[in-house]
Amino acid sequence: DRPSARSHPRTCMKCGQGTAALVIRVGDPFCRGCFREYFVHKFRAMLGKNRVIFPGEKVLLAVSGGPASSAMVRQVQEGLSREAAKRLRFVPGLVYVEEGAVRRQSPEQREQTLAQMETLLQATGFPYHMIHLEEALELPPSILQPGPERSGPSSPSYKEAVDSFIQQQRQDGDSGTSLPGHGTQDTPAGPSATPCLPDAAQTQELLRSFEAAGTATAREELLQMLRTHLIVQTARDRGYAKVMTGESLTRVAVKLLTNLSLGRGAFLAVDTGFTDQRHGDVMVVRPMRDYTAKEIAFYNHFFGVPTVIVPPLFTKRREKPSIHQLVERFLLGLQEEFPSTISTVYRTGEKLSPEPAKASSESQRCLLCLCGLDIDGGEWGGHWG
Amino acid sequence: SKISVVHCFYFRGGAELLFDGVKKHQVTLPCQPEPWDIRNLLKWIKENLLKERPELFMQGESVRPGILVLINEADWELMGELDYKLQDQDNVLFISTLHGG
Repeated sequence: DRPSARSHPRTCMKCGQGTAALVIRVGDPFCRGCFREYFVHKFRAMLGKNRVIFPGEKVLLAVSGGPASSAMVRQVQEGLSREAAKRLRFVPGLVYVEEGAVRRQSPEQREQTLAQMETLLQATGFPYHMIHLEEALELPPSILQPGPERSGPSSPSYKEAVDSFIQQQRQDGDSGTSLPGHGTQDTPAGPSATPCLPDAAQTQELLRSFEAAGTATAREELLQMLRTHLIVQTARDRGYAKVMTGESLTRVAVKLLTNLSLGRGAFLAVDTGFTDQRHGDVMVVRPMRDYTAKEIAFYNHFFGVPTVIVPPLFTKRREKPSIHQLVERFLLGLQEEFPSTISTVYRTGEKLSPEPAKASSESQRCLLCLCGLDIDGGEWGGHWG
Repeated sequence: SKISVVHCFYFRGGAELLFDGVKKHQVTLPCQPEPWDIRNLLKWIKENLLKERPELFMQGESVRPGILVLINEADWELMGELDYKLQDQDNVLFISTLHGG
């Protein structure tokens, strides 16, 4: 049973004047204008607080067509276009992994999705890369190991990097971070501009791997792993040291409890935190983790952020739902009665910090997720004999 | 009043997949003695528009957690949620924030 209908005052609590358009958090009504400021500010604050994106560096944005990653691209666009003092100062590229094979899309539907996504990516003006999940079958074995980290005595601190960037700008006469005139398809030259579908044989092989996964949970994990590997490989191939992915607060909370259920409790910090450095030379950053799914949906609707929705990962007849789906249902359901549920899970996750890397050799890392094998047991090890 | 009221219902974010992929529905709700509040509207949508898997859209008498409802471009939490009484020409938008299945 739902609690009695919530009804909030219809004036914005921030400016006290505008008509409230939505309720944020637990009972904070915001008008459209104040909501936009709040949303845009949060992105800048997230990057500013964490200081891992150096000015002028290349950052690969992983785009799925879904609401969160699309909102992320919009925030990057907004940030880059701001007046000089507050402008974001990195060089974005986009990567899209087409997963139609495992989402039960026909070849025609896959082509339609690709066309829609290409339009979306082109409109940003950033270089973009469109790849198929089938390409995971051709990943080099090196993807199963972390790449050499760039940090060392010669690499600058964040502050040093900012200072030297500003100096360089003054010397260059501040031409600014120029964006390409129009979106450029950043793949080897081919006869047609639109990426075509992979070989039917490759699609079959990919489907075989997914069908071999015994449960919906395993299938979901396989998809996430292959997608991550493809994105990291693209980053490596194209010279990106940073990747941004669009996990929302809601998604992070679900992932946290899901991963706990999957026995990945030791790696919650790296799986859900703001930075994920397991790949060594490529750092994954999650700048949307402070935004709820609701905030993102409203922002996209109010401010015309385009998205491309695709069907979910295929499931077999009469198959039990995945742990991911169950946890999502559980958390969202609990949230109805207890509106602080998801943010509480999230904030608990924030308190976790990654263990310093103990793995001194490759044999101590998991091949698939690159996390150090949790065989030590830590301080509890002794108790279990 | 005996006049039927016309509304537009929109389904986004994947919710449209439950309605034959159709995002916009223009509807004239039949006259009835009970008021057309969101509660009754949802019952009507379930019986008349929903093409498959009602449990993916509804839970009990309300929408499934994860589905957002906007009435005339505003959060339904500001309008009384299920108790809001539909006026003529009101439009209602349902956005799914769920991740499939």
